[in-house]
Amino acid sequence: MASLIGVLAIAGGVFWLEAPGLLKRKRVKEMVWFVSFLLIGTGLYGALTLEAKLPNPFKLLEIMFGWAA
Amino acid sequence: MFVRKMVLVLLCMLVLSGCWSRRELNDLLIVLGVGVDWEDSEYLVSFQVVNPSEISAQNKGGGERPPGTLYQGRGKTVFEAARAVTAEAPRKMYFGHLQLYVVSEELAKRGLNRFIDNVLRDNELRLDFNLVVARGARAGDILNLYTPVEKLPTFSMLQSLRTSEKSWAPTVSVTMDEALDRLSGPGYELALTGIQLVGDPAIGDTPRNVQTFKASRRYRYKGIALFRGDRLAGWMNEQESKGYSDITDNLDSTSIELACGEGRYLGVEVVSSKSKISTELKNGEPSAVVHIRTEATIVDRPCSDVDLTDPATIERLERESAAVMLSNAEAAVKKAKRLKSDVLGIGNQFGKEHPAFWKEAKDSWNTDYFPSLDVGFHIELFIRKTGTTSNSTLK
Amino acid sequence: MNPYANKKITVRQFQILIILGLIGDAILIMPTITASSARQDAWLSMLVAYAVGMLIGVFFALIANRIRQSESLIAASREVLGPWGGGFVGLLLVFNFFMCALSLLSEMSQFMTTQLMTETPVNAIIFVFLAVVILAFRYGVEVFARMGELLFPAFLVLFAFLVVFLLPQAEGDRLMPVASEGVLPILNGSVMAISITFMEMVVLLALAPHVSGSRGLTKPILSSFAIGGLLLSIVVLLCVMVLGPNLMETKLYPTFVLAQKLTIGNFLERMEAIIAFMWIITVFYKTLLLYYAAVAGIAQPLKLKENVMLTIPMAMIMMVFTVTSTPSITEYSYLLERYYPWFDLTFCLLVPSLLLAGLLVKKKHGGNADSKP
Repeated sequence: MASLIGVLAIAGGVFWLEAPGLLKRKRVKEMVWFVSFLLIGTGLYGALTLEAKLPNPFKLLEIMFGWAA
Repeated sequence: MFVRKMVLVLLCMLVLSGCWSRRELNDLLIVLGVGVDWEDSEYLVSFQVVNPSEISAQNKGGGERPPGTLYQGRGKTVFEAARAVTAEAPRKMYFGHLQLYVVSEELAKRGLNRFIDNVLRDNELRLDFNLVVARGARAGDILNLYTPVEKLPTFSMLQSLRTSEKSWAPTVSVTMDEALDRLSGPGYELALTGIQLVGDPAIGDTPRNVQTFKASRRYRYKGIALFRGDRLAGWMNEQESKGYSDITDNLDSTSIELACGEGRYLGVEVVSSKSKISTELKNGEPSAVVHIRTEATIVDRPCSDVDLTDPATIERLERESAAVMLSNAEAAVKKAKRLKSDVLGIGNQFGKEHPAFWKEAKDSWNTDYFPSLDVGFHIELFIRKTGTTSNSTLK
Repeated sequence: MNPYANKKITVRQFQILIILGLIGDAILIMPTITASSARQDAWLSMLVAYAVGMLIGVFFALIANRIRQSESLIAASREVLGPWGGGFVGLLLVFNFFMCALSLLSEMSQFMTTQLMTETPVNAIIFVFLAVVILAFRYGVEVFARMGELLFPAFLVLFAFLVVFLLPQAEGDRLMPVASEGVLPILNGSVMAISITFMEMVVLLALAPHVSGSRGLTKPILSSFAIGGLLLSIVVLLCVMVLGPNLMETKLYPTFVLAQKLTIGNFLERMEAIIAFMWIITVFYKTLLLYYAAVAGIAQPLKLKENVMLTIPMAMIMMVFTVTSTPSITEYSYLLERYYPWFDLTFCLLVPSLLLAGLLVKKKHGGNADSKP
């Protein structure tokens, strides 16, 4: 639980670091993508902290090339 | 702005607060020697551990504590035994400075591969320590000894092993990575030196052992153990061990005695020796020749009728010394053949020079090919010097 | 402000980055992989990989020369293959960089926790490592290129130190018998070597648009590949001669055992942590290059004008996936040895060859277009 709060704190910290600059320069599209990436990152990291079972990206390789090897 | 800088500095401090996996020096229990025995179907592992305050040069006072301590642990694996010791020992053991690994004879006969894998896998252990086999004593007893001259017994044993390998020959110092090489396939079997305890067993582990001028209980290296695979097959006596050292190019210096009449022996010191094994394959029949090239010096001439100023004498002595070396080498080969264990590395040499033949022969090398192998010797011995005198004026 | 303009690195910095990237994590894991197939012929495997690597270098140089005028690699692919085709190719390349970065982070964290700091949780190591990578990225290409120039002599000195002081322990005997099992094991061993070392250097294409000057890039790229390959071959040769095939195959990180064996006059011993510094430099640089290519690359197809704010989220994603991709070293090695060469072949060679095809076609048509009034 504490680690989850830590993750959210880090996400909040990142947002606080980056967002003002983006808003000042009025980059809407970048803001959208930034927030979405941040949400994905936070979500994954939070899931990791809560010990959820996340997929192994190298399994993707197995799916792609399993027929060849 | 200032707030941001302070936050950054504080975050840096988080990272710089030290290593996660640090172990301070006084958290370490430095193990210098490990002895493995087999008792009651369990491994009894003895760890000889340094007592740092006793060996420090600054702490002159207090000779009441021994320079090292022996901890023993039991377990079904060596690792379990090592961890079980923490029930008695004040710290966790650190194996980075391991110098000597003693295996009991019984365990050597059962097979080394049963417990040696941990040693390869561990990240603290470096592979530069020496392996020996305990002869006639438990491995734990070997480590439970006060030694004169060197305060740390394992260090004393280690130095003795390495020095005697260079100067006396019938011992061989095998480090763990060499042992791994030998145990990894046929063609060059493992050979380890045996260590035994001599003298009065009563006070070996007390300081009184070193309070007399000659220590009551001492260790001595004796004989080389031959392994077949990872199991002990037999022992070589002194002559055969010398031959072994010779053939495997481990010989640096040794002493040869030549009889010169009236029960007196002329001393010849071997100064350097190089040996090579060359292999030949004639019609599918393997044969090997051992080439040894030795330089020697006369160190002792008790018989005054041996004239060292005469070149013919030198030639005769060269021939006689070479004959002694030949008999050593032949004895070694005979013993190896009898025990069906190619400790001399002839198979390995075949693998390098005739790989196709070796690929087929290697599985049955020890049993079929090696015992009937034709091994020839070509020994060249040159006596270059006679010390600081040629013929002394002693009558 | 265009984030891609005004970023110039000199040719020499480019070369140094390539050399450091080539050595990367290959110096850690390659000896054991080549030794498991080729045993004492591991050095021959490496030489074969070296030869093939030079050809790969020629291929990359062909592309690099032609994309120098563009803003960045992905921009070039969009120019050549059209906005959708180029964007797709760009995404594939970014995916490639991402996966390579994952493998590098996995390797590095496994090495650290196996040999040096066994009780540290893997997350902490990856976290700190990525923090430095992010910082280096945010400072910009010129900065880390200059840092590479500074660290390269340190790397070379440590390397020369390692090689020179290990030579007394090298025995030529251990190389025999040479090629006794035939060429197949040697080729088998070289496959992994080629893919880890040379094919992953497709990341140099991401740097190519930033190189200043207008002279061709072929010679610098080829000479860097030559030097990097030479250094690696020396390492593998030294491994075989000093350790022997048995030890090389047994231990997961033979170069670390090499460093452990370093002893100077029985006096200076146990210096493996200093030599480990050398590897940390190379692994860091390769990770940094891949990270740079991935983050800078992902902003392009999305037509973003800034990419700096994506650094930390991307790093979070990378960290999570690094941890999930290494549930155990056995599973990781299994997947890596089976599918990674194929992955590298497709994404590092086939995909850029689409780009090269587009560039060659464009040049032809561009030439024709010029002649029209």
